[in-house]
Amino acid sequence: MTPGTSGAGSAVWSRRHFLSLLAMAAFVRPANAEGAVVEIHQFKFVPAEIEVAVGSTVTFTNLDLVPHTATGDGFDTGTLKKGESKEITFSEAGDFPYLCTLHRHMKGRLRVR
Amino acid sequence: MSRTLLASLALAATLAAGCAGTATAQDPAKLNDLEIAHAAYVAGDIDVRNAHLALALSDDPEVRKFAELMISDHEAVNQAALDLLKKLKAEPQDNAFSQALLKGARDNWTKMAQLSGKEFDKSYAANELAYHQTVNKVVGDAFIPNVENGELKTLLGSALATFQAHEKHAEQMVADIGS
Repeated sequence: MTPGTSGAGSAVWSRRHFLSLLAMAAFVRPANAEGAVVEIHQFKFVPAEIEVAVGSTVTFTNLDLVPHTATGDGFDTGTLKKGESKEITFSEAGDFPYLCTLHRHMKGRLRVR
Repeated sequence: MSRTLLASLALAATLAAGCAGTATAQDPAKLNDLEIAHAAYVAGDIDVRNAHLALALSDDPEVRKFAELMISDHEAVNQAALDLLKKLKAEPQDNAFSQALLKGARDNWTKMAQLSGKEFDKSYAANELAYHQTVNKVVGDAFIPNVENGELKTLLGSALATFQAHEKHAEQMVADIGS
């Protein structure tokens, strides 16, 4: 059967086809194409390492009780209190190791490709 | 015997023995939830006051940075505790264990206030390490296993993660300041 042909069966097939294509598109789309999330939890960046596409926006969210930062070469979330987030867009490729300037043992790494 | 170990033993003895009240209230494993909340709050508040003493007496950048962090972190944890108690419509209960903590702290502040310069910095660093080691043991081994309210247990778990980070930081500060 060719998609888009007339008839009730075709209409049902088309809807299913459309929905499955939509689901596939969501699945195969790189998770980092439009944005990625780094959570700060129990004094760790989660995930500790992440790769995103050039132009991506990364959202840093602090879930801990105490304030944290995510600070690297050329970017800084500033102090994030519990529940606060900061979006940062990475427009150039490169490796960006970062840390929390308040708790300097907390380290993460971003790769922008 | 090192000053750190002495401070640790002295505090542990204070915590174990208490200074007033009943035998039941002195054992941190036998406190009820509201007494645990009170003791945890007092423990955090003591370290905030330790930090203010350090900011008043130390010129060492690392010591001052650590002290500022203690104020920021412990105030945040204690605010979360107050928020939870408000939500639960509960009042923390003073107890002999909290009183023992405070008595130990007051004795320590009196001694620390007599020091200055490098001597103060070394003492503050050693005390912070010993204090966090001891408090972490009490929170991890007595408070968390025995607290009944689930939300308070979760809060104590997050608080312990914070205090364990402080312990690591204090270890580094002791090493950096030297003996």
